[in-house]
Amino acid sequence: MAHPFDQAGRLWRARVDRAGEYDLAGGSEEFAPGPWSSFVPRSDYDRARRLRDDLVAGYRGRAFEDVFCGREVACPGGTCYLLESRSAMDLDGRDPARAAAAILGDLTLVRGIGEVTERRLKGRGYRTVADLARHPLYRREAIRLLDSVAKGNTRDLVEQIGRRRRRSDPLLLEASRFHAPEDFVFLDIETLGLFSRPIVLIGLARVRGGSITVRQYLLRSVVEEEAALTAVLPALEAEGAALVTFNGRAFDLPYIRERLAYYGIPAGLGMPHFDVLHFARRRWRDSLATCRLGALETGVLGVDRADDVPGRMVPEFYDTYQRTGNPGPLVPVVEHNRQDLVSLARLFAVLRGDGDGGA
Amino acid sequence: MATAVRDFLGLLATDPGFREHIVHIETILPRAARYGDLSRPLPEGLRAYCDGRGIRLYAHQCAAIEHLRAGENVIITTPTASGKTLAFLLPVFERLATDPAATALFLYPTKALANDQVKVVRELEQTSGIRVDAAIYDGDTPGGKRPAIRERSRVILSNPHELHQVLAWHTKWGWFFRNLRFVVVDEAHRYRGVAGSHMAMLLRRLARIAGHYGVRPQFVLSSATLANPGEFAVRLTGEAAAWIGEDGSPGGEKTFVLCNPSAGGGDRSVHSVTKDLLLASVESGCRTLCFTVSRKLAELIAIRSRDVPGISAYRAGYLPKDRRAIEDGLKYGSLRGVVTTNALELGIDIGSLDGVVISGYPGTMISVRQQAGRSGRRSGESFAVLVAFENPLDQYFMHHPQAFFSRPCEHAVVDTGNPYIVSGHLLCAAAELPVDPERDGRWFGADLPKMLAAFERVHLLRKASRGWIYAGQGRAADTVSLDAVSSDTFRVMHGARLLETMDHWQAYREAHPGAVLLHRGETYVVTGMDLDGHTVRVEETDTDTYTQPLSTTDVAVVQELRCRDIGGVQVSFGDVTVTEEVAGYTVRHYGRLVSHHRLDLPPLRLETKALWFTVPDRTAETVAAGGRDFAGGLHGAEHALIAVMPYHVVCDRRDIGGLSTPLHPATGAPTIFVYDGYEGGIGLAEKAFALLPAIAGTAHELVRDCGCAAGCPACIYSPKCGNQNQPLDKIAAVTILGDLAGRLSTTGGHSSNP
Repeated sequence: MAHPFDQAGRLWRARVDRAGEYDLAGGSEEFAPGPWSSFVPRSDYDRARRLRDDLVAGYRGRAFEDVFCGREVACPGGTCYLLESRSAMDLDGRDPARAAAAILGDLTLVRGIGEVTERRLKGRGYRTVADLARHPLYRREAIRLLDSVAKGNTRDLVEQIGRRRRRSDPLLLEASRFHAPEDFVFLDIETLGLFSRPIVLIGLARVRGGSITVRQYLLRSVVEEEAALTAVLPALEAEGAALVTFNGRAFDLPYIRERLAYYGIPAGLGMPHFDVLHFARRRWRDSLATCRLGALETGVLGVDRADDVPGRMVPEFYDTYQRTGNPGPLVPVVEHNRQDLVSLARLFAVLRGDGDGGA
Repeated sequence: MATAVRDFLGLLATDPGFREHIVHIETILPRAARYGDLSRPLPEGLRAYCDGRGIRLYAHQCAAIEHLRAGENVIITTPTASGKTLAFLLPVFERLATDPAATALFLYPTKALANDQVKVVRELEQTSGIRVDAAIYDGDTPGGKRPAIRERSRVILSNPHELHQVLAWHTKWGWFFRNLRFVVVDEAHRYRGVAGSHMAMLLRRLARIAGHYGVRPQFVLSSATLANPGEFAVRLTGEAAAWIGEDGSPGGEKTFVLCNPSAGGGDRSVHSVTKDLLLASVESGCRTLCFTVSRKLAELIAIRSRDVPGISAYRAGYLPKDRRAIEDGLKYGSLRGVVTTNALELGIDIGSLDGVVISGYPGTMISVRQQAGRSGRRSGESFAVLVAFENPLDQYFMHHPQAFFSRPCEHAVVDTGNPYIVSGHLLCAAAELPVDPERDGRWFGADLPKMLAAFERVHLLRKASRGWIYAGQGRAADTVSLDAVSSDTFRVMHGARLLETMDHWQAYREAHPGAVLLHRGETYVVTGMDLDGHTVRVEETDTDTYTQPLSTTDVAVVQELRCRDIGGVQVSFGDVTVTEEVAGYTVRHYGRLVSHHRLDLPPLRLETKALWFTVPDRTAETVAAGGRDFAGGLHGAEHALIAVMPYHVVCDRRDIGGLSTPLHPATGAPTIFVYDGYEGGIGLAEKAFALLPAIAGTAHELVRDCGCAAGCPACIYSPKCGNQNQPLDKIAAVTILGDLAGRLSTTGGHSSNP
């Protein structure tokens, strides 16, 4: 008689396989998915399935380490596997004077001051927030803001500006100029689902000396997740670091927080955070049909991806690797994540109006 | 009020329309209150609440308070309206008053009940001045309000389905769980059989998360009267509980009447008698609740009672605001009578009533007591009438009133070893926190290492440094469904207005094209059914006719997984498809057939697991030679086997289905099927396959030794038979079961896996 738990295991396996988190959209239907859309167009789905099958066939018998040239790193939570790549990319240098001028020139950042009051105050000689330090009513808040600006404390500034403005306010981008290019940590994760499942790839990118370095912690098995989390934590929590993501406020950061708690790893993760999705929406909402990263890449950066895997299908690709041991399906996942990070950094540069647009 | 009840009872005794149908009158004597004392007084705010309402605590309420103060778990099984809610609210609030961070989770089986009970909790909060920010957290709670509730509310009212989803988000609930002191499970008797197994595992997952946050909450179970409260509490929560079962509340005299429309030679239908009883009661001045066995009957009786104002139907499927309006109407007096399904059996507050009419035996004594308990006051008289259907089970009670009144409440059976259910929840638990085989053995049992290994083989769990982690790509909680009810909900639309919602099995039976649909006393006809869009369109109509679906149930063998030949009996286990086809419907006018229509609906399918066995020709010949009805014997044997299964397989009889047929295409012989009523199967038929010799033996003894002449509810009558318990032949059933048990008891059977 078969083992009862093997029967049960097969039952749950079949159920898990059926429980997809995306829906297929019909072929000709016109739709403009937002970043949270759960639709994968039928044509993309079929193409991705074919791609996956081709990869399984093409990489049959190949070892993981042989396909991905990286190195094993040891960290507090165990060992994991790191891939590194580099390409040309630049960001403007630190410019605290420009950032301070932009912020302090905007009196409406002080609570209680609207546009009408600002005009009146400016007429009476209060030209910057610094001048308001003399104002009996607005003194206290003005001094707090001045203090944050003087210290270049972007974490407090982002919060102070955020309280008065939308998350997409260009002033927040100006505040990022308190940071040197190497302060920015670009982050993008790939996961087995939308929530409460392992992260399978953590990608970080940094810009320094005219190039962008992408470091990807690719899990050889989900068992390495804890190690990968502990590996990236120092970079995220480093003094002066600022996080840049695409939709990370709603997805990547809470996801990482939840996974850290799952393993019982304490972390603060209170660094300043610039979520490019919000700035991009404000800037291109009217000119592009959607503001998903892929659409921005094509429409703004002029990049076209070949053999891409739709983000929603990454779990299926990783699961195929997990079940077969064939690393093929991970090839486009790694490339997808790398491309996302490079595009994220370039969009950030474009939005800030850096140099030649970050090319 | 008492005179209204007496007027009505007088009418029953004298009115020739009723008199001849009354077969028994049982008087339940009034009982005096037994009050209790507390070892130390309640906090001032709670005393003020009680004093303001003239509440003096009964002995059982005091007992509950003291046990909970002592840190014990408690199960309260006193009857409806005995003050169970207050018995746990007071000690919970007392603790929350003295420990300003303490939190409590209240679980209700339905959202409607939580919506009703939150009013009681908030009233206590306001009057007592003990701030708990009581709030509901369920599927209807807007996303924007959720963070504030998680971070501030000290009493959260929710339901098992929501908790099942919430546990994976425990990080966001850190504050609430760190301070969790009480978990209250209201209407706990609802969690028996498979539903109980799920609840038991869900509560273990909750306790495990609480343990992660360093707390061990006390469990409070509030339940209907059961045969086995102590055992039930241990099974459901994993911990022993003090049993509070001695009711200290006073009760007025109650008259319980058995009414049999078939008696006295009348040709009146059950529905017509039910309606007349309801009207007579309401016109006597009694506020009356009438329970029916189906949604349609609730509507039908409400419509036929239209001549008397102040009568409404009530049932699941109504929109929440409509339901609340009816509850309030009954409570505040604008309604005098409500016809309802068992939806009002739950503890929704509708005030106290003078009388209850129960149209048809509701299937369990637990339900009878819950329904009858809806009428009655602390003092003064009340009544309950059970109106019998023509089926053998109801008729048996009419002919044996003592069997009815002495019948004990059912055992609430919960299996915590069902491999499918335990492993499903293990999967969910692993997605909540890594599973440590040593630490977590207490929640998942001794087989935990085996389950972990099985899940590793199918790549759903992996062993990491801090324990076993979930590695699946689907959300674990989405793959484990707490009940069999499908999530496909049909919307019934009248123009642009959403009339109600129903599940797809029900939509096929009651809202097929041409069906007359009754809703809140209005009559609609279904003009269209969009199966893909899950929408039913209706138009208003004016007709006295109603429709009845004609459906057939079939079991098809998909794959035989195992089979054994035991003493010449071929017993099989495997995958089956149970189909129900609504092939047509009849239109009726007051019971008279008007017309007959065909339907072209795809069959409803349940893919599940079954065991089946054949009955040899020789047995059939023996039955025929004795002049008995073979089909009736087969049917009776099937019922008896299902009746005893809960004792062997540990489930509720509602969890299993059966089919018997004198000739089945898969076997070419008379066959009895027993299947799991759950998509994919849930291990019940599988376990029964292994235990069939014992099950057959018990079933045979049960029927053979039953003192009845031609079958009764204690042997071959089933409370959930789809064929009105017809045909049935007791003597033939004894022959078939005796032959089966005899063959199975001979050793030497061999097993094979084709």
